[in-house]
Order: sequence, then structure tokens, then C-alpha cells
Amino acid sequence: MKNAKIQKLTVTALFTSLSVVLSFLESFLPTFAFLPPGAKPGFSNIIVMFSAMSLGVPQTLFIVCAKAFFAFLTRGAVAGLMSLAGGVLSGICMLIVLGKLKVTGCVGAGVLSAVCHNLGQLLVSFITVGSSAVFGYAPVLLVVSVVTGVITGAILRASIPYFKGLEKLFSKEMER
Amino acid sequence: MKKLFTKWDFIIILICLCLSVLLFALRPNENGNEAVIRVDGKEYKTVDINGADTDEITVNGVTVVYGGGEIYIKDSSCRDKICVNAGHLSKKGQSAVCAPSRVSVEIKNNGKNAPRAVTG
Repeated sequence: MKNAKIQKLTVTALFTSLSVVLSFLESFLPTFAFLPPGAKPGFSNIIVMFSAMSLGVPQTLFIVCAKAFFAFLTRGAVAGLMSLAGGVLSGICMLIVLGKLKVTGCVGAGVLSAVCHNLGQLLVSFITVGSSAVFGYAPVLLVVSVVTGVITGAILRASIPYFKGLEKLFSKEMER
Repeated sequence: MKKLFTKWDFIIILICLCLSVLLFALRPNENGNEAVIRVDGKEYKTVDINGADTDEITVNGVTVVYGGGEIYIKDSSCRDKICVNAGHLSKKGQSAVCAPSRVSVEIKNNGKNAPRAVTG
């Protein structure tokens, strides 16, 4: 099954670039009026969620690490570490929730993904800033995570057919 | 095909919101009288915030203004301005953090001007 391997590799590469592009474009978004500054919708979580659902463990972890490396290159070491911690934590959570348990819907998965991402980032800022003061943001971040999680979850549900179609397109190309 | 919403989703959202309310309610609500400014996790300076005049110091591109019972970050060289938007702080335990420049401000109370208990 060489073709299946190549297909998975291609789709992983495509999703990696998609998640990097989404997080890059997202940094240009003005902060929404209803969200506090620094809160981002986390569109690349959609990619990570789908990857956890259909690609597998190494692929998902590769995507979050590649995204963190991009953040490290463009926004510095602290941002890279924050992205890595948030990404790996939410990636692992999604692998468990979407890959293994499979009891939640897309919205719940999106919320969990956002909460884990923020938790990872809070932990890194706790270590780099060195003060438990950062956890004062936790209540606000939780509410924001619910809002952004519902949005990303809904987008994930809407885009699953297209992602699946993309995978099928590749497998058809391979057969030719 | 994957469902959009299940009862688990409802439970997850409920837990998150309850946790948020709980953490918010558990915040200490006592006025502070001094603020610790930290850089890289190490204490840079502790300032008295109850002075009548306001004073300001700049560290790592972050301008901190204090006095009159409160402290706030007036300006920061970072892009996100999360610390600036933390607003004016006066209660013990409140804080403003600028992660990019690794500066944090946290309000403490050393107990010197705590109201005395009245007996009899």
C-alpha cells in the first residue's frame, strides 16, 4: 500500500501548510470587539482537530510542532514556546477526544481544544514571567475559549465534507 | 458523519463556564498597598502605590504608573497590549502581565495599613 502512504504524506503536508497559513493570517486580524486583546479565534485548531480525527498521532503532532516552529521564526522564542505548549496540549487532547473517545460533537471538541491551547500558553507564561499572577487571566480566557471553541467547532463540522473530498481527490489521483 | 453537538458538548461548555465564574468569584477583594514589579520572574522593584502623587518607571519598554492607591501599565512596546488593557489595578492579587517583555506587575498587601479590628 505505497499509494496510501504517499496520500497520507501529501494530505499531512497540505494540512501543515494550511494550519501555518491560517495562524499567520489570523495574526493580522484586528481583535474582535467582543473579545479581549490577545485572544485569537484559533482557526488552525480546526486543522489540528481534523488531523486528530482522520490522520493519526504522528501527523497531528507534526502539524502542531511545525506551526510552533513557524511562530518561533516569525515571532520569537517566547511565542514559539507558547505555541508549542498550547499546540501539543490541545493536539494530545484532540487525539484522545476525537481519535479515541469519540463521544463529543464538533462544538465540544472545539471548546476543549481552545481551553487546552490557552492552558498551555498560560503555563508557559507562568514559567517565563515567573509569577502566578498570569492565572488571573484564567476566568476571562475560559469564557473566550468557549466562544472561540464554538466557532471553530462549527466551522470544523461545516468543512469536514470538503476535507474528506480533498482526501478522496488525492486517492483518485494516486490510482490514475 | 461527525455530530455537531452532543450532550457531552453541553457538559463541557457548562463546566468551563462554571469554572470561570468560580475562579472569578474566588479572586481576593482586598485593597493592596504595594506592587511588585518583576522582570524575568525576578523582583525588579517594589513600589508603594498609596502615595498621593503619581510616579512612573519604565522597564524593558513597559511604562508603569503608580500612586493614589492604584497602579497601571500606561504603555508597552509589545504588539498585543494585553498588559495595558488589564487596566487600573488596586486590589490585592490583581496583576498585569506583559509576556513578550517578561514584565509583570502584581499587587500585594504588606499589612501595614490594614484596618485594625475594633473591639469593645
